Amino acid sequence: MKRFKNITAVTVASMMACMATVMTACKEDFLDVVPTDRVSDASILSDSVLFEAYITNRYMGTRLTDKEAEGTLPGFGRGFEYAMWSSVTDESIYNNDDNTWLIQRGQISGDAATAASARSTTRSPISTKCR
Amino acid sequence: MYGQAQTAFSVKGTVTSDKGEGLPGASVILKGTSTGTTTDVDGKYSLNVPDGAGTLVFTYIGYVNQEIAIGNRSQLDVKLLVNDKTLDEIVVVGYGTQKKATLTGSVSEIKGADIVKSPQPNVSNSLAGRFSGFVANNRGGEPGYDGSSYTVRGFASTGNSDVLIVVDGIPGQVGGLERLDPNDIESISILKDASAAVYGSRAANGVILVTTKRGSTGKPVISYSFNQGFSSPTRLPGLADAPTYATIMNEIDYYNNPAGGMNQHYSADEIEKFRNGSDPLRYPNTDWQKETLKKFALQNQHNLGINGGTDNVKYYVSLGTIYQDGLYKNGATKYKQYNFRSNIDANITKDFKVSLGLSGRQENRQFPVSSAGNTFRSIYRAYPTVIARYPNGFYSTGVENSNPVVLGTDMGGTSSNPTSIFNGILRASYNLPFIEGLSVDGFYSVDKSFNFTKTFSIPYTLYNYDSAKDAYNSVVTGGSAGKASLTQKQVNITNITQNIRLNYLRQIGKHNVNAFVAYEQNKRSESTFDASRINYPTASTPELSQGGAAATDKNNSGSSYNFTRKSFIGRVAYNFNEKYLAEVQARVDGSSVFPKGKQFGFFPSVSAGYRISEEDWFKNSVRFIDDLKLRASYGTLGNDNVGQFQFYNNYSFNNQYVLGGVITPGIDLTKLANPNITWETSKKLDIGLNAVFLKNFNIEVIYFQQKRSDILAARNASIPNTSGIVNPFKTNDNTPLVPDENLGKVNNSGFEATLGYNHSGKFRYNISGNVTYAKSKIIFIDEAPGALEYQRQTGGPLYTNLLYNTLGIYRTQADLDKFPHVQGAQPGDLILEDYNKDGKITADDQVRSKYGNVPLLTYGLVFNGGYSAFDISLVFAGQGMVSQYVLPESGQVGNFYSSWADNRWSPSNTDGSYPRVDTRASSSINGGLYANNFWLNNASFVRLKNVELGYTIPKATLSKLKISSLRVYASAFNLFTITGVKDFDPEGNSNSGQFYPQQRILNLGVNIKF
Repeated sequence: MKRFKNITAVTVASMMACMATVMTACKEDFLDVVPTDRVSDASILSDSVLFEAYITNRYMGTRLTDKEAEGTLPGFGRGFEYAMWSSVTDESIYNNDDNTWLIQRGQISGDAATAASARSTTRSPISTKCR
Repeated sequence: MYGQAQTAFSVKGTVTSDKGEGLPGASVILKGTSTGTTTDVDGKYSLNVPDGAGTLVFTYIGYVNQEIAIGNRSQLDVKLLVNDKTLDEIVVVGYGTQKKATLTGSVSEIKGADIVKSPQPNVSNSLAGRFSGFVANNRGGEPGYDGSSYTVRGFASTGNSDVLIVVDGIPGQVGGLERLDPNDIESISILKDASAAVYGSRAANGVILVTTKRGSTGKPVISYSFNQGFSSPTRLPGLADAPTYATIMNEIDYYNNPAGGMNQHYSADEIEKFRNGSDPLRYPNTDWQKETLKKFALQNQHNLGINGGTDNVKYYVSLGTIYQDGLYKNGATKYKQYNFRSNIDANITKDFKVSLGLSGRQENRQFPVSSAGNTFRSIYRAYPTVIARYPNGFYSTGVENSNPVVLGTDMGGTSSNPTSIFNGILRASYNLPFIEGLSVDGFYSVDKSFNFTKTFSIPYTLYNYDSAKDAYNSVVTGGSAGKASLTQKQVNITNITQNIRLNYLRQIGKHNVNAFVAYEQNKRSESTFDASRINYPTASTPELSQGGAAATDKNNSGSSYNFTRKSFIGRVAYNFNEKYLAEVQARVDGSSVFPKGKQFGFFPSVSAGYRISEEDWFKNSVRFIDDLKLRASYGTLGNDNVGQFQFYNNYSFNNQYVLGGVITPGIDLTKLANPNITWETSKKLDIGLNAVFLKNFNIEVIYFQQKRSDILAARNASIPNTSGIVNPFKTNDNTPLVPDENLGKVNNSGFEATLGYNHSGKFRYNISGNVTYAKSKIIFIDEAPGALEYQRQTGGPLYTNLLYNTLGIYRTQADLDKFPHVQGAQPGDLILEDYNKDGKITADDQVRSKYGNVPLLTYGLVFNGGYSAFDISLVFAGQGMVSQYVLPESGQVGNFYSSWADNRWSPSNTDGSYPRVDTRASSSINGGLYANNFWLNNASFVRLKNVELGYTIPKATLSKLKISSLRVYASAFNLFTITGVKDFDPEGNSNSGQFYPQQRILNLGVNIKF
């Protein structure tokens, strides 16, 4: 029994030693993967080109309906894709709804409206006639 | 008795079982010779041998062979022990093997020899029903995409539930399980409990271990098998014929405009013409299934394997092909696979061993441009009142310019998708000379896959007959805006895994120790390249260089990512005399998915077992139980299969705008940061009992429980839309701006039981039944606050539906007046239950369904038998406590299943069991507008998953042909099914029923060994 304990002790010790060797052998930064399709806050703030591009995007305005950008990317001029700009005033009504009411009722805050607008997960049943 | 020249010594005796009964027909042979005899009815034998120095070998089917030296004795009585194969078996577990007798975890195993009994070329379809704890559903049958979705003990996460596949020790080997050649598989083990903790952060959903065949010492055995299969759908819905559909169209018009009467669309005369076929051009009666689909499709498999070796070098090499044709007439759908495998093991010195495993596979998929879902959608929708093909050869417009007869062919172009997969594993092991039992081993594995897709869409012309002008109007469809278009895509994956391990395996007296520590690291890289071009002047130049010339005619995209992991793994398994069993294992996993400083997770598990039957008092007092083991395990496992880089704010170029006449890319916030993102963790408890009793019976009973926490999910429901961060501009993968948070909690618990019986003798067989009950319970998910108690998902199982209850059909106006009903309801509509009794039918009356399309109950029955040269095997699989919602796309937009058409309520059939027909089922009061449980089917079933009947040609007939064994067999997959589901296969999971149906395969095969 004693012999058994000794052998076990030696074995465990040598296993530890082996582990230690392996641990130091492997690269420290192996787990730090840098993505190539996105950048971080730091990049935006340190690169004037990115910063300007980001700021310009702030002026892109509100997305008018929750259906926009289905076919094309959002951008200037997208007020003509589904609802007209006038539809979010009291001049006209976009009869497909598509959650334009969020803006009409002023339920989108300035920040949210510019950074990103709302998209409801439920669809109005009458919107099936569009396009 | 065999007369011999020198018979100097005579020996006799009795061969008995350990109960003392004589064993008749047992064989007694002098070792190393052909001298031998068999016992008589009382188990007695007598044998003359040259001298008294030899050894006798006693063998009897179902018992352990015994060798006894004669030692000049003339009387040798032998007691043979029952062969408890189940206990001597070695089972593959994570990072090693274990004797089944000393196993403390819940592990199910199947041998490759059983898998090849199924004519299904897709391995994932050959496991259902075979053992407890494995829940599999074959969701569709399209060649190339005909695998099963499977879980270990059901679902326990709202996130990813993929089971980790480990092939020959490589976790997550590229190529996976499904497309392995079944002939190359030695065994498949499924780790169901905390014993999977040795795979740490990837083990929470269970682990499947696949071991491929290796060489064995001996002269080469060449084995060839051929299978010819005939596949056809397990079931297709019956569809309404033209006169029925024409009548239905009239009814729909009547419901929409009752004043117009019953013949607004077709006159009775016209309907009669549909019925009698007198004018097939104007009044056809088209069976679109018959027009589009063949009676059966062919499939075949060839496999050639060579197995052999010397003491120092052993090899297993194989070649295989699989061919599967699609069901469409003149169809473009085909799957062709070529694969090879070479496993070579060499002893360089007595202590130093090297092995090299190389395998490669070419998977060639080809499809028409129309997806299978779309083609079957068109088959089920296409109007029976429209001809498939005009007498002059023109194809009709089918339904909305989709003619299913054309969609399945290459007329609209094809999508070809060849994928090459290569796996290489180099292993070495060295027994360290200075301490007995200590060894070091390691492997270096490289996986590569190249997945290429080329889709060329060609415009083609369909025709519409204008009977008034007796002219055909043409419609150009397919392609892109009337011209051919091309997209090409390449996805390359590289997966490199390195492992080094120190093992200690030693038996000292009654102490058995098996321990290891290991370091493993893995890097997976994936890159995607995509290009497309439109406006091809001609369909004869399907190359990216030959399309439209304008800048807007061309597009491209691409992406790539790396995923790294490093792991420290250790295990100590100890047992005392194979009676007291204990095991501790742990894995420290680091993953690049998580932020620096939080990359590592700790996943330990402990298990213990007690073989009561090894106690002397038990052996002496409980004689009918031959083996009894109690065991339990508990551990923590993880799931890191989540989106990368969510721990900081992500900005990407995802939009564009015009500034000063220049299109400028716009960069925007695409993901908010969750700096605290971490593992999904699973704590698994497992308590089991294994027993062998009355020699031939075996039983296993397991209780299991899992508590999953920190499930990653986006906080969608509780954040108001007006916050603007829930789901803004659609991102590429349609994910919300808010990052995943570790917020979900799901429990999963249940039991498994298996009972088996082995019968040896002239008619030898074993039969084994298994049952699994696994129920999940949502403890916390991000549900909208204020959700009604009976609508909440929390507290119930995962993946249920929110539906209105139905109480039948309003047979008459009087019925309609009696119940609260929605606006627009008419006689013939479904009665929706006013669940909250407020006198109105509102969204609050929806109720959460009891079951979802994940079965809580699954069961199976396996039978293997043999009588002289014949053998038979059967696998039944079944499920219960499961439901599937299917609402067909019927109305003016599409045809009806016969079940609805023939049983519909109508003013002239007020006793119909189905509601009245409507313009569009999806926006009907009876259908999608108030989704209800009328369309929720009980998807329970029992089916004969697999049957095989084989005959082995007697050796005597073969010896002249130099064939060592020849077996012919007939087999079938999904031969028959007992279920209450009428229109589709109960294993499907489509809410519309529009999918490529599961296959029934009838197969003939031959297996020859040289």
